[in-house]
Amino acid sequence: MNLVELTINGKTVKAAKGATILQAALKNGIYIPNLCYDRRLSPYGGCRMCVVEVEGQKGLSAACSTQIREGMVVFTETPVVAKSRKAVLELLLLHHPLDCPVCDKAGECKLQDMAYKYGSTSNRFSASRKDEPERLDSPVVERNPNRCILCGLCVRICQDHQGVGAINFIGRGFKTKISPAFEETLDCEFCGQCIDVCPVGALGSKTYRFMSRVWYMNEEEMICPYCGCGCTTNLSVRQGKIIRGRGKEGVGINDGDLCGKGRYGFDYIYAENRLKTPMIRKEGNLVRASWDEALKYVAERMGSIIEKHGPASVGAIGSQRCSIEDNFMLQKFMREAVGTDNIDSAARFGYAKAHKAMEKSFGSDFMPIGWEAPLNAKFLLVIESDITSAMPVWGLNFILARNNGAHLAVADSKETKLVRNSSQWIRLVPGTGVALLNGMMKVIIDEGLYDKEKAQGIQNFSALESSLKDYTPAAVSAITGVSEDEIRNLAREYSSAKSRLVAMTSGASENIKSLNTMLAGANLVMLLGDSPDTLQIPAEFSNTLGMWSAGVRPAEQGKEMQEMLYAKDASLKALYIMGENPIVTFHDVAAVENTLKGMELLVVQDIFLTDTAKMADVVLPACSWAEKDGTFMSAAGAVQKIRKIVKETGEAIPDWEIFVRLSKAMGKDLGLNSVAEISAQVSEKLSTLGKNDLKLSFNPAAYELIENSSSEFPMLLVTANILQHSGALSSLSRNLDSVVSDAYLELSPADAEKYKIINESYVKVISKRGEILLKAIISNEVPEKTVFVPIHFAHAKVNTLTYPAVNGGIPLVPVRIEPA
Amino acid sequence: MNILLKHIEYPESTELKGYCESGGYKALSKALDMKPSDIVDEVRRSGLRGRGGAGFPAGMKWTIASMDPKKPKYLICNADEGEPGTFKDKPILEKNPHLLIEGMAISAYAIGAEYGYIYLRGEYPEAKEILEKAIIDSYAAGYLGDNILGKGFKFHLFVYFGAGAYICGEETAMIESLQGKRGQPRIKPPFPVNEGFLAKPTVINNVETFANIPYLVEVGAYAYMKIGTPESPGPKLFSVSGSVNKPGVYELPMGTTLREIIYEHCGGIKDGKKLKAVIPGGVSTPIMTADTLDCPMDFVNLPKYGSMLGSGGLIVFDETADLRKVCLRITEFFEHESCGKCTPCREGVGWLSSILKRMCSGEGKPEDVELLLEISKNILGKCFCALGDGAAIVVQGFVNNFRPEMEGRAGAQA
Amino acid sequence: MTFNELTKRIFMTEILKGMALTLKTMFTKPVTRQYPEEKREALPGFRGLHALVRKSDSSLRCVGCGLCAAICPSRCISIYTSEGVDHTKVVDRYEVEVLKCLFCGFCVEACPFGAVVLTEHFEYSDYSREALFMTKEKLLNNWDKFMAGKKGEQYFEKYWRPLAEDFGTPENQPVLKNRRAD
Repeated sequence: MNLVELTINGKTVKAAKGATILQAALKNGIYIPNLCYDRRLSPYGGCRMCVVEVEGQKGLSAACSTQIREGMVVFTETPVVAKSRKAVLELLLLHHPLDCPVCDKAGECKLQDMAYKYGSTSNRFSASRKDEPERLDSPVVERNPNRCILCGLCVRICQDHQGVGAINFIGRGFKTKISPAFEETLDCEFCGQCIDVCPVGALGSKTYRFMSRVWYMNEEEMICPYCGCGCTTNLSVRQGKIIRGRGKEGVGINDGDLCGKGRYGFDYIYAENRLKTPMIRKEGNLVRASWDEALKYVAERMGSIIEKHGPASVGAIGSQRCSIEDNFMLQKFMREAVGTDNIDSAARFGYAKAHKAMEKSFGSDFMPIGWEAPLNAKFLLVIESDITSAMPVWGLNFILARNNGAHLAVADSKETKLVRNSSQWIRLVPGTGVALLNGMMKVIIDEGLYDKEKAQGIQNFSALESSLKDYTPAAVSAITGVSEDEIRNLAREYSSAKSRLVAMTSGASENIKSLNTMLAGANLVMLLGDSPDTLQIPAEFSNTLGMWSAGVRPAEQGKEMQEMLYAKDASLKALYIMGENPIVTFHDVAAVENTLKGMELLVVQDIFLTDTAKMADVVLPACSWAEKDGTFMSAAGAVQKIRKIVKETGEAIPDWEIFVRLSKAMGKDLGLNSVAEISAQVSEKLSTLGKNDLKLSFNPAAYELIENSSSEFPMLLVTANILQHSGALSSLSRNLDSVVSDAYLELSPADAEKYKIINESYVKVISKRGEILLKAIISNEVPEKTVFVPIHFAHAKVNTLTYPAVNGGIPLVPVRIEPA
Repeated sequence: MNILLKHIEYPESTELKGYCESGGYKALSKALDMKPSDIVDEVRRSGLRGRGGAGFPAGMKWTIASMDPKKPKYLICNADEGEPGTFKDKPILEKNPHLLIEGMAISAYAIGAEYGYIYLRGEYPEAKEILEKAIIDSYAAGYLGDNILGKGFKFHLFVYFGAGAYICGEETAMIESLQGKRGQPRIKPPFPVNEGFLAKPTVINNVETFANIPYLVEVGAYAYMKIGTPESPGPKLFSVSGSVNKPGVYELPMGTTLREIIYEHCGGIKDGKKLKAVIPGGVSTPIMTADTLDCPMDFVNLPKYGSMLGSGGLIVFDETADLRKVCLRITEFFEHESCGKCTPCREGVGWLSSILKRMCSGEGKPEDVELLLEISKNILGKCFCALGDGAAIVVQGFVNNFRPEMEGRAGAQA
Repeated sequence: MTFNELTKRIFMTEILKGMALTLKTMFTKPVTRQYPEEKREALPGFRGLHALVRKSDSSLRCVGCGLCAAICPSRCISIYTSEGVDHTKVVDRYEVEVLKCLFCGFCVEACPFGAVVLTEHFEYSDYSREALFMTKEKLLNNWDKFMAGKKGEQYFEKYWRPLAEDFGTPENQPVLKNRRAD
């Protein structure tokens, strides 16, 4: 990188060529006041606060839009500059309401700070203020147009950075205001990025409205508890209560970017059904008990079951939301105190597939994503995944890559946010991503576009070649609904790109991808001679990768999830569930419920009284993520600390401590008594990750539907995540529920007409496993013969219809819909 | 002088036939036989300066754009003639559309542009129809299209109808508007010649500038420079309005004095009244007093008299005019047309007009004139584009030249 | 011993002088105040027990801006606000820990609206700490008790002048227009 040397306020500084004066100054710790600059956006030059004096230049220059030159001499604080800033402030304050006493921004308001520094205290012109009504009609975001100084940051961050474009300027000149189209109610994805960038109080968080003043609060940096991005969210705590979250420049891997979950979702820890004391089932009801009583009860019952049926009759489910330490203690307790290997988690239906694909194809046991990987590729191929909603902040890198000139091709059946921000949308039939990949490989091999030297040296190349013989463009076109030419062109363009990336998500709730899709992705990567990290499959939740790496999975003969919960033989007598809610989040609820009912002992350790906990014999209250110390491992493989920032709820104790106490109650001391001791052992275990040699191998992957649509069930049900929620946890956040609080069924207008369904009416969704009632939303985003349902909401019971799949078949659910 | 308006006098000047009969499209066929770089050189040598208001040398603009390796290149004609007092482009657009098309085609050939846009003022619906018909005719006659005059040169031309925003006359705001965005000026650099329409090299010139090209190419730079002054050569259209006997559009060489325009060509002040003041180049140029009548109207001499040539839209005021009201009206125009992007213009011009309003309604305060000067000083040089600066220098011009009247002391009419 | 001293000693002038003062003082008003029977008039600006100002419609004048709490050197003020039914800011709790307070009067000075005052009341000793933990209701009662009527008005006219009076919040200010007047 070329560096340019210039002098700012007598200090010689260096900055990259092409940078602006403002960027160079900020990078070197010199503050120049600004109201319309943001590091993520291109210069705007609207506020005129950043004016500086440049030697040899007539007049003042705007630092935000003047590029630096070698030997430039800049002064940022001269009397002339101060006078100019004072004049600009006077103009800004002409119409700015002086309602700081009731404005939530007061104390961290940029305009206020600058008025203190440069402004005058008198008012030479008494102009009438704007008197627009406050807009409080949308969830979580409030708008007060009177306070707006029209810096345009919100408009630009929404359009250019977030890829949404929900708001824009309306009107001209002084009458300009910022508003959604036609001044309607703001209806966007509610990420809240606009609130963070607003320099004044024109945009605010509704959940924080009048809650506090900034000087009452402590700011704590915490890792977000939701998805695998591992963003740092800055939580403001007042008197032991978290009242808001926000992103902060330069903090964490996200560098200040947050999605709605990270910003608003913290309040699930204040949900009404938080557990406060241990509970034991007595005469059919759960009654409060003391810790000693509860632990003694568990120890005794567990002991007798081990004695009677052997340790292999005990199973455990770990949690992707609990810390590495918690999960490590769970598996240690199970393996050392109980002596069973039956340990698994919900990741079996999600990340386990990705892991299996990586292991089979690359021989790797640890493949975290690269945070910057999307930015380094020229051609990005996303297979049936809305990365912008599963991994919202990592997803921004895909949008950024496209904005920087990379080609972003998205193969998806639904019109997702990523599709809207893509360069190419390959609309295929849901679940046929594997066929598309196979079709591309067929074209690449037939036209000789692959890396012959490398690919032919990889094991099973001939098997791959022969497995692809049925995937001719014509055949693939028939399966996927994508035209032959498009498949050919995609294959040609992809294979000829300078640098490539294949990305997909591996959510437990997604049923349009399976192991085979990921294997096919890996095959494509190897075929073109790319390195394994060209395939990017992120782990789903905040600690999925950490849990997986801590050993929450069968090591040898242990039972996997489908054997534990879906097997017909009742070999499992006791089940210990930590922080998981199988009755809601697992597929085929009826089968799960049946198995759980048959347990002799069901222990649920959770922070809420979940539906599963309601079935338990013993319920143990655990601390939530903000109430304990520990570590999370993000999808990018970064181990990050979480801290206790608020007091525990009731008698809850951290999960790891429950295992310490329980093992003692069972008379088997595990020898670890503090987070520090556990962390030491954990890091020893983690240090071996990703050290093994790679061993590449092709794994032919066929396209196959486990259940296909029929005349009785003509539609295919697609389940997935939506942007505002993550798993079932976020549905307990009141803030996030104010955006989306209920499951719905999205269907195409054509299907709505066919089945006589009115928008926002209730429909019956019937599969061969059961039926549920959902509100219908008619939307152009969904293709025909497909219905889309978000999975997060417990009361919708969507998983009544679904079924588990851990292998190659695509577990789409054939359903029938009827007006209710 | 009869170069730019030459064809108008022939019957059916808007028709292709009439235009060709009066000598049209000869320059295009001559140009297509020249090397593009030669045309650029010729234009540069001629010293032709942009007629939109800023007077930037057209040749320089073309040279930079033609040297930029990025492709494709775009050519935009600024026909958003929004300046109050200026209506010089209207006769070309409405009476002589083929002159513009020919000029644009030659320019496109010179800089290597394949697509051109005419950004037409929203208030000129008649011109739109005439232009569109002229373009269709030109396509049919082979003056536009994939293979112009069979010489392998491709140029397509489109008319884009503006929506009535003054700010879209600013070149970067015009590009934003053309791209379907909000009409707001962009940061410069990068300049449009390097990164303009769709981030590709773009040359934007005024209608009148393009209208000069066919003649320039036909006679060559040397002959062209004989018209006008050495620093600002060529013919110029002056649109004269206000208190004169014969208002209208006049084609005169650059450097014609104000006195000659008003008293010789326009037949003097209406009703034999005395001249009080002149706005020489549209409302965004400072007002001039009656003592400066001998100022030659060109890009170099007017600044010496404290004003600018601007777009050559003269507004003449006689002794009965209330200049405070004129000033208020102009400031209100700028307030209404401010895009709202930068603070000084959005808030400052509004403040100026509020003060002027209060002065005109008789509620002014003694310190108001001083305040006007100070606010306009705070606006000047701090704005994003020329709109706010324009408002500030206009107010300064009024106060500096007619201070007693602005203060309400002299001029009993107020 | 000089003559002068001798005469003084003979005529006992010193004693007579002293007696004259005694005699004089016998007829003047005594200086000692008979506190608590007799109470001293407080001067303007006296900093006694806290009170919260009631508007003429008997509602709280405080808007909950928290500037008093921000400036308070002993951190004895805490304010809890929330969103009211009509989406305005409502002060739920306003608490002063009087035992922590050092009566600097910064809170009164910081308040832009003149919503908090230090009354002339200084006799607030009590047997419990709770009695000196002032809640919003207690503070409003203090206003009624110690500053009602003319006294309250004069307090802001004669001594403290709220910042908002001088730092020009125009009358047609939309957001505060219903909050300024009392």
